[in-house]
Amino acid sequence: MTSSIPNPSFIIINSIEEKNYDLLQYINYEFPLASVYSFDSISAYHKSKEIDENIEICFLFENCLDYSNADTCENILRISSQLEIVAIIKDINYENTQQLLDLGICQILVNDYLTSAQVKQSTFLCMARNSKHVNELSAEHKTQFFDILSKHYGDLVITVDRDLSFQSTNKNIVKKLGVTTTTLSKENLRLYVHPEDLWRLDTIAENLLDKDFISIKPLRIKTATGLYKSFDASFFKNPNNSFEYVLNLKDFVEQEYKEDFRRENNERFSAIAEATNSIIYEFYYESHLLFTSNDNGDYGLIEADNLAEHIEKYMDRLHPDDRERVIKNFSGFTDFPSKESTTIKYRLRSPNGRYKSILDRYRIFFQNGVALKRIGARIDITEVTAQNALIALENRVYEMNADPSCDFCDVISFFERRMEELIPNSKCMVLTEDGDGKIESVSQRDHNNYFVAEIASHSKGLNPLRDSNAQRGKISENPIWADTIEVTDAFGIKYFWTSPATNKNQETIANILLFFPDKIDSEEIEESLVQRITILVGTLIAKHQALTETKVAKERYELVAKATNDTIWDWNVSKDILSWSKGLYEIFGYSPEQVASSSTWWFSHVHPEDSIRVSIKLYRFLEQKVDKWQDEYRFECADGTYRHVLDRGFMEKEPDGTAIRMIGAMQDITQSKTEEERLKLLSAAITQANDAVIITETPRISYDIPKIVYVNPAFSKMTGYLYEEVVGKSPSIFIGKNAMVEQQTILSKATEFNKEFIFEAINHRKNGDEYWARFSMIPVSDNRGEHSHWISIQSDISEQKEQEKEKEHLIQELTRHNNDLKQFSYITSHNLRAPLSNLIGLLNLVEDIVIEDEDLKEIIDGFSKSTHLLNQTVNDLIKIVIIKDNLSIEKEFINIQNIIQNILDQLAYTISQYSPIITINTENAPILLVNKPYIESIILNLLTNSLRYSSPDRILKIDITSSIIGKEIILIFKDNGIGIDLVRNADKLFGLYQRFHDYPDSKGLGLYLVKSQVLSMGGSISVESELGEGSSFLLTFKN
Amino acid sequence: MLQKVLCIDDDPISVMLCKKVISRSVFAEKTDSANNGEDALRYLEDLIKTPGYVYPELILLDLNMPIMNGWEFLKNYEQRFASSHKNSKIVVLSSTIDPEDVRKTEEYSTVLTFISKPITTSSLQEVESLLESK
Repeated sequence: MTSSIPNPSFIIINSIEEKNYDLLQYINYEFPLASVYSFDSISAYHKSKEIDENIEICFLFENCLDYSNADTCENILRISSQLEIVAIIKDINYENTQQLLDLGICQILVNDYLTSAQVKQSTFLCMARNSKHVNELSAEHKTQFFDILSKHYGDLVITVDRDLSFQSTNKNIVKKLGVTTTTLSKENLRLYVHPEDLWRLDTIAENLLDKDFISIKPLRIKTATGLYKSFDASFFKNPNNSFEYVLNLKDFVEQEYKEDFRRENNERFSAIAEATNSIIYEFYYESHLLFTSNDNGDYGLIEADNLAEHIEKYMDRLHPDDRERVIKNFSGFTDFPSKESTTIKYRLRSPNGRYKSILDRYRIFFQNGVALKRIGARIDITEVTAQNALIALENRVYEMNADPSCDFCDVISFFERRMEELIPNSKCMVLTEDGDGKIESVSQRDHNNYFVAEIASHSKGLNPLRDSNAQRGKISENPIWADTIEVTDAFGIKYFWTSPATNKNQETIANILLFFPDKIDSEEIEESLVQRITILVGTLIAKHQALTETKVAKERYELVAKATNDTIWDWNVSKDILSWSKGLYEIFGYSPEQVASSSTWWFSHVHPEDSIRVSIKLYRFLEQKVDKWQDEYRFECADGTYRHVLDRGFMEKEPDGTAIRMIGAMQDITQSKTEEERLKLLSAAITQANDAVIITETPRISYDIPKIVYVNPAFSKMTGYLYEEVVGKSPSIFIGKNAMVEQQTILSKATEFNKEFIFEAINHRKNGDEYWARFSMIPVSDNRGEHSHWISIQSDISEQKEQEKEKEHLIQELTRHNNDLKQFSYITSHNLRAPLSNLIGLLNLVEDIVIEDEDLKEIIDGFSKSTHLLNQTVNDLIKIVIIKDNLSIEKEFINIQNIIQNILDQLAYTISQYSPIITINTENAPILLVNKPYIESIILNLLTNSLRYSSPDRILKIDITSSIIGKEIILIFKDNGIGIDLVRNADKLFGLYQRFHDYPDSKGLGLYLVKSQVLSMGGSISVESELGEGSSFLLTFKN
Repeated sequence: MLQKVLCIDDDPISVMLCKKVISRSVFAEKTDSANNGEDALRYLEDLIKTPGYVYPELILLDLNMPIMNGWEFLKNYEQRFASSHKNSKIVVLSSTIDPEDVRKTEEYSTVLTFISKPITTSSLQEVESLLESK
């Protein structure tokens, strides 16, 4: 049985606790939702403040009363102003209980409990609170209930007690029966029912024991006019009062047309209810009671026995975040009456503990300007809300992902956090694998990273989720987590839910993993949510990977383009758009504005001689539909020169073979081309050379014998060995053994220092003949700078050796001769000089002696002259010998003017005999770097010559001039003497013992000596002369 | 006038000429002679052993001599006599006209000058004035 009083509170004040037992049991049975508070004294009750608000009924046992106190019970029990003592019952008996019943409270309590034998024996006082309120509530509720019943089900509703006495009716009674409620009061239904139908009433009580209702059709009831009216009647128990029956009467006359309307209405109602998934409720502002229909099926929103509840209980089930707002909404009935319905959304906890999103559409009904009730329809919009949340999440995630400034990790971590909000108690992770197949958290959230690291360390680097299907379950029962159970335990997770995200090729690229500390009570909505977000994550990650790959590819391309020296070109064949990499500017010197973006520009810069060949080949390639193209041609640079290029292209094509795009790399091979040309020449030089060329490979191990890798034809000619006979062999086959041993030290040293060197050795021809060869050994290094080969150029020097031998012999011979001669000339000169000086000394003595005899005087005079001439000749000869022998002479800076003046002084006597006009001009070059005795001798000789060979026909003029020409100093001696016949004597002018004039004291040594001295000082001498005109000697010195 | 001159020369005519020119020029009271370097060294060794000896104030030295030539003599002389007879000077008298020879004589501190043969009155005057200036 249910009570019309929702969740009442009871207070029991009793000093003997055992006596409460029965009462408590009864209350618990009848009012399962009631709160019961027990106290052992009134003072204990007073101390407890918290319960004041909810007290409905208080049972006060007599044993708690202090009768010694003069206060009345009323005073003692006045616990709070809100309480009103409605009855004090002593020694409960039937009358007492009836008294309470009359007050309209606790019918059940009074009827069933207070009248029981046990209770009667214990004396207690009973007190009710707010009895008036309860009364009113009860009455109002009844009226409204009838309203609903009549509105939807019947024309006339009557309640009767078990004796079928009228209790109450709705207002239709006047209309239907023509009597008022008052008239019927206290009367019995039986008096109004047609006698033929009375028997049906007898079975009511019996039938209602096991049925919800009984139907009597028709039931004729007497109207005020005395006529009977047929009704379609149904009896059922009054849900509010088990002692009453509700009689629902439908006018049989109106039945026919009402039937359709009702059915229609019913259908419409249920259709609407079904369509909207609505749950209809009514809320009464005065009583705070909430009545809920669950006609439209159980949506898990309400418990079956909770169709009526106190609004505050309802509010308890609201989501904490919504509670305040909804409470306000439910109490906010001061709104102006409105025909429009209003809506509010909130979350409500369903019996399974999960929150449902509710859309509450309601209207408030007013009575006399006061809000009476609120009728509303609650729609479960959990799924819609979840969908909306999901859509919002998707939108936000896509939005974030599209924002280049938003890190992908942040996108995923936002996603994960939202998922954790959408699925309560969950931990969300999006996991993928790194390049090594190691599990990795995409979001990089600390918690996830930590978890993943732990998982990885326990799963031997394997990704436990690899190849896992979408599944969920208990971690301890799933093989996936077998190795990592310690980790999941440590993280306090017991259940998991994983869903693999795939790319468009259905390859798993990530796993969405949800963890729960407790069981998963997932709902359909979450299933589909997970499915959808899996697709979302799959798309995101695939896109991200593609982006990353593109980025990497782009970077790689740029790197390659940077690293390569090639010029990369990209030709959109169909649109004829050609773009070039930087190489075009860097290698070929173009600036971007010089380059047109079409293939025409390209072809126009191919060398005219290559152009036709290249285009034919290229177009043939385009037509042949092969993948690769390659050509060598000359390409014009910005400065008009051409560079050799090797151009390679790859074609991208449509399935039908039509070219879409060509990408090529143009490699500058000018250098290698030039190198090739050069190598051709070099190779020709080697093959055509007369010298033998041998190239040997330096062994990697120093004591290994080098191998011949090449010999030229000259080698074969020289040695008789053919190319094939020596290649791959050691040079020792033709180099003499002795020479090898001798040269080994040099060779190893040279190898060590990588230096060129030359050696000569006796070699053997194939026929055994020996010959002398000179080897020029040139070391060659490889790319790394390490010695790799020797090039040796070998020339046959046998003949040269012979000649050298002869020459050496000759030189030795000559040197010996020369030394002999030198010795001879020294000795001779000295041996001549000594007696000569004696002779002169003797003649000097004779000069002091007066000789009377004329003959003797003449003889001695001749003797003296000859002796002096001999002395001069010998002196000149000795001087020449000295100059020839002494090649290195000391030079000093001298003043020409001074030297000339000294000579003039020495020759003063001779000069006086000729009275010449001597002009000296050395101002332009006053200083000479020469050997002083030599220059004195030269000037003396030249002056003496001028004087000696002066013309008798004219006054002798001598001009001595010095001048600088470049780095040389020119000294000119010019006279107007008799001159020399150069035509006849040019070749022997400066020769030894050459005399050009028939003069008695000419020895033919002077000019020879002059030339010898000039040459020994590094100068030169030349002469211009004409017979009878004079001579001009030109001496050149280097300063 | 010098007290004594030593003339070292293997050529007797040259020695004779020296003596004649010296006496005619009234250059020295006495002119001794030696045939070569060795002979001259021996003469000087003997001389300094003689009590109250007169050491030659001037030595006329020929270069080209047998047994010991002028250069060898100069080396020995500088070692053995030069330091103890600082007032005595050597004049190289040679028929050489090689300037190298002339230059070489300048290396010896005891050599006063070089004169070319034959010896003349004027060359002796030159020597005299050089001695006086020292």
